[in-house]
Amino acid sequence: MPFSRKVIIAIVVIVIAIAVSLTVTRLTLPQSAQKILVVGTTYDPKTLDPAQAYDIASSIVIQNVYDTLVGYKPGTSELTPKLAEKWESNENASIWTFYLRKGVKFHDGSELTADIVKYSIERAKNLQGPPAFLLDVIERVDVVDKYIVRFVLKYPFSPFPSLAAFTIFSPVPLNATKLDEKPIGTGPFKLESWKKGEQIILVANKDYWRGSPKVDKVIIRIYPDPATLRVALEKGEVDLALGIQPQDIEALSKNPNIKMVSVDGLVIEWLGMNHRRSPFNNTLLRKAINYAIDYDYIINVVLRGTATRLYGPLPPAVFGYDPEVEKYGYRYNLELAKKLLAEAGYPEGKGLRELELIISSAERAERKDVAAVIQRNLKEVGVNVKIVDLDWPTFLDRLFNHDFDMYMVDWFPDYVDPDDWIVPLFASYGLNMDGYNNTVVNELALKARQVADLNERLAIYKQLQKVIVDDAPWAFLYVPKLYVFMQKNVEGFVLYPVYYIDFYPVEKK
Amino acid sequence: MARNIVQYIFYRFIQSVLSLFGVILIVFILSRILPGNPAVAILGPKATPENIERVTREWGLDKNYLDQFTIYISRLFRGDLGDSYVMGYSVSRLIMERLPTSFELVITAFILSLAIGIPLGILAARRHDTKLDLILTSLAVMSFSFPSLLLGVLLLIFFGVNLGLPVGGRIDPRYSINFYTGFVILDTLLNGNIAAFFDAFMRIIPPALTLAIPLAGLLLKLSRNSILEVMMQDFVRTARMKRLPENVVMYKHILRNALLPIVTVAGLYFAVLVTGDIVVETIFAWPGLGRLVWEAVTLRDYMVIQGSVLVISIIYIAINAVVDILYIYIDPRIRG
Amino acid sequence: MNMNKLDSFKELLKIKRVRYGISILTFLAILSISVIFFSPYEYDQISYKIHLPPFTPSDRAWPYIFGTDNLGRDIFTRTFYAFILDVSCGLAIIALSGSIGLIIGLVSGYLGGTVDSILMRIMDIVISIPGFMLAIAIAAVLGSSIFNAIIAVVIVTIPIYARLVRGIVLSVKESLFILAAREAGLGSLSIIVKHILPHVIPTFITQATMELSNAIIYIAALSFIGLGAQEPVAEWGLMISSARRYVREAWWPAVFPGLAMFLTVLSFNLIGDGLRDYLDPKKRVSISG
Repeated sequence: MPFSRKVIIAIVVIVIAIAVSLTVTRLTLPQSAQKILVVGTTYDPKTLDPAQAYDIASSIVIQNVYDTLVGYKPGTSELTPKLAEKWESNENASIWTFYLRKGVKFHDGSELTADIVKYSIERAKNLQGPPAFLLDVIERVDVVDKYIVRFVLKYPFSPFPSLAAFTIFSPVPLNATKLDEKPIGTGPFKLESWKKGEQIILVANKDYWRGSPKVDKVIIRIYPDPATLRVALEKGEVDLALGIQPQDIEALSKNPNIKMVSVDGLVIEWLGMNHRRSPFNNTLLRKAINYAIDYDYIINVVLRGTATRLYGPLPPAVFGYDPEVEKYGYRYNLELAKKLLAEAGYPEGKGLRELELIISSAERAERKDVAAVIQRNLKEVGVNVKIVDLDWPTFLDRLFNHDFDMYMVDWFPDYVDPDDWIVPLFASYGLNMDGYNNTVVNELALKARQVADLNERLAIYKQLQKVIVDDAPWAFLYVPKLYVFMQKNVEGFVLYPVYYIDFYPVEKK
Repeated sequence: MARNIVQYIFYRFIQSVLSLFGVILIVFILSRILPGNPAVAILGPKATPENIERVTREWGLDKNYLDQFTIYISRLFRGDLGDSYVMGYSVSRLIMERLPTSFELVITAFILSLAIGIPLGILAARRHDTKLDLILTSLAVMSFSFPSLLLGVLLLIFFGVNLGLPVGGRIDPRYSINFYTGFVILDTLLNGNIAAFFDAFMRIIPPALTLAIPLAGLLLKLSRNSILEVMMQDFVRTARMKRLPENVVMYKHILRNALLPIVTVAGLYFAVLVTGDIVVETIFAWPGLGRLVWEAVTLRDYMVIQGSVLVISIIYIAINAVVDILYIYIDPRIRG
Repeated sequence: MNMNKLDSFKELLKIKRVRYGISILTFLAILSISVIFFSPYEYDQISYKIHLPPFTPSDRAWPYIFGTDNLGRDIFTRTFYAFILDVSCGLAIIALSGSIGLIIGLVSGYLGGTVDSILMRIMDIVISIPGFMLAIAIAAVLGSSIFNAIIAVVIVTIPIYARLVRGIVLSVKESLFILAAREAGLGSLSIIVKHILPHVIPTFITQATMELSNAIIYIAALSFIGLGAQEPVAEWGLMISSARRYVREAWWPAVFPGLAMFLTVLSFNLIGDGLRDYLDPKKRVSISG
């Protein structure tokens, strides 16, 4: 019958096609004489202009094409000189003077001077891109000398040097146009090409002031599907993978052919409460909630150990963190939670209405699971919680209109100074999402950012952590660890807590 | 007769345009009712109120709804769909990138379903009331009931984990392809990159199968039933009595008459598929139009939402109208 | 009258498809009820026993028949809790959209004229937007919850019933004008109920049964992308969505809810299919039914 013959032919053709493709895709691409580092990532940068960039994907490229005034000691969040050799402030931390390194050249050959720094900062201020608010503290920029630039601030602000490590402080050359697509910086790599949504190619800047990078080229490939990125890493198609999802971390860490680099992060994740609404103005109730949560389960089971417990307002990796919080912080204690709940006036949860917990799991799917655990934990002490998963804009809307009972969210610091956690999140003059208003905290937080002496600041932050934890304005949850996976022959890669991805010292053996 | 058809086409066209306007209006209203300010979502929680205000003004979102709507409609007439807040470039460009992607998947699924469904349907009809027929029709009903949720995940596991083949996305980012047509299968060939061609080919099969299998089941049943219905009719018996060879009888008379309902249903189903099955696109990370709408909704990218739903509705309405007209044209009995 | 209905029901049961469909449904329903009363596991009981494979023994009355998910919850229990939830949602949807669509179709078809044009124009517009996208838009506007998801699907599916009913009313209306003239004095409502409705009901019921499976799929799909059921509710779409991340390690949290959904959808399709053949003997071609 002619009919079945056609079917057989079709099947044979398909089988041959599959067989050929299997063999062909196993062929590796030819090695070239150049040392090329292939990096896989899941997000495309939005812009390569430091004055406009406020997302991680853009920062990854910008941090390698540009330099900032101030950098970090490898693998830490400690400040170190970069384009600025040293800096100092006046007595009340309202005027900061930066001494620039001499002889630093942009990719277009022009030299870095104080004039150019002034130009770059003013340009960023004028453009008013998303990160521009970080420059709000600056009143004006003065050029003191060819290589000395002075920032006059509107008010005393001791965290200023940490601000200068953010990408918006990267100097850009004069008369550069289309910086969002054709960046020109002083950094170790130049941009060769950017095919949006597909890949970015960087080439080494042989005249870099610290010396040429160890690889000749970096190809950054966008893998929109994280599962495909994981497969690419396992097959050796990428040398370095950024943005691996938490559910893949365990399996990859056990893979003998893959190297894992991890570091404690600076992002904190917490359960917030609306102090403007009853029953959250009741400190005993808040403490009861703090004791009711099974943190170990969340960290070890839900997060598979990819995070560490957060006990207070600051993550361990930032200076000013007081290890004592681990002693007086809250731990899972069901009996104590029940007791405090009764003392708060709600024995076994009687009299308590159903509480609503809003989350946005868009970028972090595991948040749904953490919320489910918290819901179950609170159910055990008699508190009923309803989870509502919203998309990000709706979530933000409700958060900033103060229309919520409880929420779960994370916080990325813009600069590594305890100030960037304490003020926005706990001072009533910060973002004030929770309606938390503690005059002691307000005063101390203000003092801490105006005092120039480091030891004084540390003492204030130590005190602040105790006051805040005692008040239990939130339930402090966890700090995700940062992970980067790479092939075994990739050396020299150092991971920074601020998620600064530095390709400069990386080499392939 | 001819005048009736022309009248009908005209009437259908007016209907379609009115419907389209209704769609634009509804989508506009719905997307503005969505809580959440896109400016806040994109600038981030630390953005200063001044900045948010400035961006809101830039995007024309501070005007009242009526003004915003009129501006949108007037730009629409000039062919301007606006710019995406998130991407920064024009919505039309974004849609033109994604449309061939969805199209490619749908056409592949469609071809697969025709190739599987109709021959099996013919087989079932010829062997009607035998065990084979029973098995085939049961499979058909089952495949039609298979939710793409489950089928997609099963195929993902089967192809990706069990067979170890590449799945997810359209093509391995390793291959840098110049897109001439927007159809990745064609473009890899046009680029002369055979390895890329096979890679793309293997990645399109699982999602296409997910879409094709339910439709194949439906087509199987339909073709079987239509063929049988026609087989029962007199003129076939007459043809048989004249001792024409069975194959000739089969292919010439039956198929042509039985094709009508098949074409109608297939056409309608095509309309549904073309609009981009969000579930399948999510499971396989396929960057199609359906997924674009979803991403835009989660980011409140109004221009993209309005633009993409508009394009999708145009396609949907157009195909429905074409099918209706074809139906009338082919089967005069139904007219009126 | 009663004997007729019993006979017709028996006739219906003779069709193999209907028998299969009803048996599968009954089986699933019995399992679900047993689970609710007898399962030693709670549906939201989180434990350290994550990703246990199916049939892992436990210290409770029965083992983890379908294994556990990524939070250590028993999948067997959750799958059948989800059966109750999804089927109830499906029934609610067809009841709501069916009745509203029925009324709109009857009114539109019977009254004709401007009312008909306006109503049908609205129906056309709703149908012009691909169903799932409209459902997403509505559910997103209303907020993510099962209740709102139901409303969204109801709105999207009303036009299906409206158009169907209207079509039947139109075709019957012509032949009834004579009847209406005879029974002059009889109110429109009586005419509709006594003479038009009986023609509408059979097809309407068939459509509703087919739409039930669609409704279940809609709810699951909406929950899958995050717009319907929320954690820790047991709902098939939500379960598959959560399980998808870990599918390389554990396939069972994704597959079993999917299979249950498949069987449910299948049985409703079989019943609906059989119903359609039963009610329209002209379409029934093959003797085996």
